[in-house]
Amino acid sequence: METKELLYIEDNLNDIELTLRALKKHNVANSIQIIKDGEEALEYIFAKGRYAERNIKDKPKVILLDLKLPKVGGLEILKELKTDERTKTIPVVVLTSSREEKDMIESYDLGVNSYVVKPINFDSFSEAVAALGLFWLLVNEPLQK
Amino acid sequence: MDFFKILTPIIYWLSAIIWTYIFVFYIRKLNSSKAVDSFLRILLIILAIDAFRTLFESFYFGAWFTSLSGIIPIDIYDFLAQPQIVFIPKFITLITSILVLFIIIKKWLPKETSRIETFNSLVEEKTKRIEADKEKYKSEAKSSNEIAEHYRKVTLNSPFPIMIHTEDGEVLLLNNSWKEITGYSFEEINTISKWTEKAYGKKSQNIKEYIDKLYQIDKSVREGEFTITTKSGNKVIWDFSSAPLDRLSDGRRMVISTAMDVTDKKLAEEKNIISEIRYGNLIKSIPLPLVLIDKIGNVNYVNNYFTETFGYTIEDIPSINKWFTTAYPDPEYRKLVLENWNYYMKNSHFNKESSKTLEFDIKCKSGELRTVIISREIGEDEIIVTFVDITDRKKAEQEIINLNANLEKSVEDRTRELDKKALRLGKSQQALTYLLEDVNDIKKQLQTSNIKLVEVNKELEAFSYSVSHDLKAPLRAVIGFSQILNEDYAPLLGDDPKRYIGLIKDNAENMGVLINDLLNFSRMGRTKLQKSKLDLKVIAQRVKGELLLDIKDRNIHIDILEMNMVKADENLVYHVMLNLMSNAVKFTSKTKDALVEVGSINKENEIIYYVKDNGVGFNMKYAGRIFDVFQRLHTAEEFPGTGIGLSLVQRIIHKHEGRIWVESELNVGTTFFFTL
Repeated sequence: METKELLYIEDNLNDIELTLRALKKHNVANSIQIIKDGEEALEYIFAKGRYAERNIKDKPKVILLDLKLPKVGGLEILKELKTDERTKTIPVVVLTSSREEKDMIESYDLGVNSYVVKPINFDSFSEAVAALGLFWLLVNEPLQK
Repeated sequence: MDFFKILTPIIYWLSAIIWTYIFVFYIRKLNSSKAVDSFLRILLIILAIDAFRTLFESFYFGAWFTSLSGIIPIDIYDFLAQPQIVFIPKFITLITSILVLFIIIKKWLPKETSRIETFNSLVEEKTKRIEADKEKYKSEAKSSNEIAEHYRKVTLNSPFPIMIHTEDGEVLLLNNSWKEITGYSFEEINTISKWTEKAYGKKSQNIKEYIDKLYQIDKSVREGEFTITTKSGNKVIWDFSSAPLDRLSDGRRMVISTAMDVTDKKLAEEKNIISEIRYGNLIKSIPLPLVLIDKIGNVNYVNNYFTETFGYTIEDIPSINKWFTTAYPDPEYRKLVLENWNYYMKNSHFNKESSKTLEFDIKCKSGELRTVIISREIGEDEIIVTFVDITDRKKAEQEIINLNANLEKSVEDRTRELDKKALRLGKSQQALTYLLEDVNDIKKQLQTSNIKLVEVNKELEAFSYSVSHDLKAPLRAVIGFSQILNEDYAPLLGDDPKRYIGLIKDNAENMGVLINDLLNFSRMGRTKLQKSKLDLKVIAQRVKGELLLDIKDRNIHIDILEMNMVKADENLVYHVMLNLMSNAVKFTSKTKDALVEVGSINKENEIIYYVKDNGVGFNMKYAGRIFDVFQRLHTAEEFPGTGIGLSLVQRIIHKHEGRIWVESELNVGTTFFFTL
């Protein structure tokens, strides 16, 4: 099972479509793994359950994480990601419509690498996603172990 | 023969004068020796008679022969030579001789006889007496020897120094006392000169004159006090007296000198004088009115304090009786005072204590009454009376009594008041207790309400969170897909479909803004104020920075003036400034030279901040609605906006307990004022 470059954890289909379109438009992401549910996300990240065959050492370049997820919440996933030795070096970008301060505080506390609020305006949204992808996939140097 | 003519009358006259004198002499002697010797008197009478005769004849024949000599007219001789005239002196001679004879026979001879008899008996008596005296003298001689010896012993042993010396300075006797006190032996001072030299250190004067005087006066003379140097060099003071004594057998006169050793007396006198002076000074120094009375009742002395205090001088009250009448004019009162005085005078003799000190009211010279405490001391010959003026003290005491009485009364009044108040207080306390119970109930209710509120707040919080997330998501989809539709299929679409898609997108975007604003509005309302000291200028400048993007293409000036520091919530105030300033910028978009000014005005007790613009302005009659939620005074075409901004601003200002108002004029400008 191949590990994709970008792991996008989001439950809203609309947002997924819009995001993908944005990324594709700017030719940023070629390999994207989309997981729509928190529990499944954790299984993927830690190579468990249905993704047990994945090589955990093979890390994605960046994880795009929405906070409002069913079953396991985004912050919970963030916490798991950032406290596990194997995964804490993976850059995590929270992409959410919440501008609630407490969400921000908690995310940063947990060690989020970036916090982006989804704008309502599509153009802005599109640009933001593109910028993200550009930066984290092409500019940023990930730690490969 | 002329010579004897003149001589004879002269002789007669001389005799006349002499015999006149003799006659006068006899008469005088007769008068002076009336009682002495009768025999002498008889003799004198006879002589006087004879003298008289001779006297007369001398005068007669003096005149006779003077006339004869021619000195006086011869008529006188003629007169005197007449036989009947010559007869007179001759007759007188006869008469006087008869008289004398008569006296001899009648007075002299009998006297003589009796005199002889008396004489004889006298002689007998005298002889007898002489015999007796002889005997007496014999025994007296014996006893006088004894007496002499006795006197000698007395003299020698007399406690007074005695010296017997002669007029030529030989000292005959010095008694023991003299020798002992002076310390000299008899040999050392056996002459007056030796004595004076040793005792006085100077040469002796001639004492003969002095002794003459002494003998003349013939009694003891006090010479006075002399300082004598003794053999040992000490000085003693002697009071000398001298008296004439007998003559010695060789005729030299003797003097007895006695002395009294007054050295101690003198010392005592000096001491006495000193102590008297001290006593006098002491009396003078006593700082109380003081009177000295002698035992009879005369006032001897009043001191200055007395006169100052009571006004009387010693002339006013020379005696104690005058004092009593003057100082105690009321007779009844005076009686009491006198009784007290008399009691004191009687009883202090026995126990020599000072009297009981009582208070007396004395009338001063000015008429004023002063209260005093009198104390008396009986001295040796004086009574010392001192007064202590306690008028002021008594006044003060009386005042204190009055004050106390007043105080008691006011205390009573106060106590009564306090009781009333206490009663009222009790009632109020009861009411208060009930009130407290009510308050406690209310508090409990409040607490429960508070808890509920907190819960509600939390719910609201959760609600807004959901809203922001859940509402926005579909909105994003609508906008996004509209956009995609536009992008992907624009060329295929006609104008209308394109317009519709645009409308969908715009409205969805609008909704997003509304949702944001609403969320903000509600959040702002819920948060607690976190006040800190803020410089509004700094905040305004931050806002200006934010707005830079919107204004970079425009001709607009934003002036931010100096403003005072204020205590407020930084975040909320930021929103206020952002809102107001972005409004100002927005509504000046159609103004050519847009000017936005942010500043403050200092009034007496508050600072008014303002954001002023010279934009489109509005009609003041709508000013009331401007702060309502979603109220707009322009269409969205004219100026974009949801109308929620100002409500939010107002909410924030009110949360700071400030005021906000606006002044505007169409096409001139708008100014928003607020206080914090």
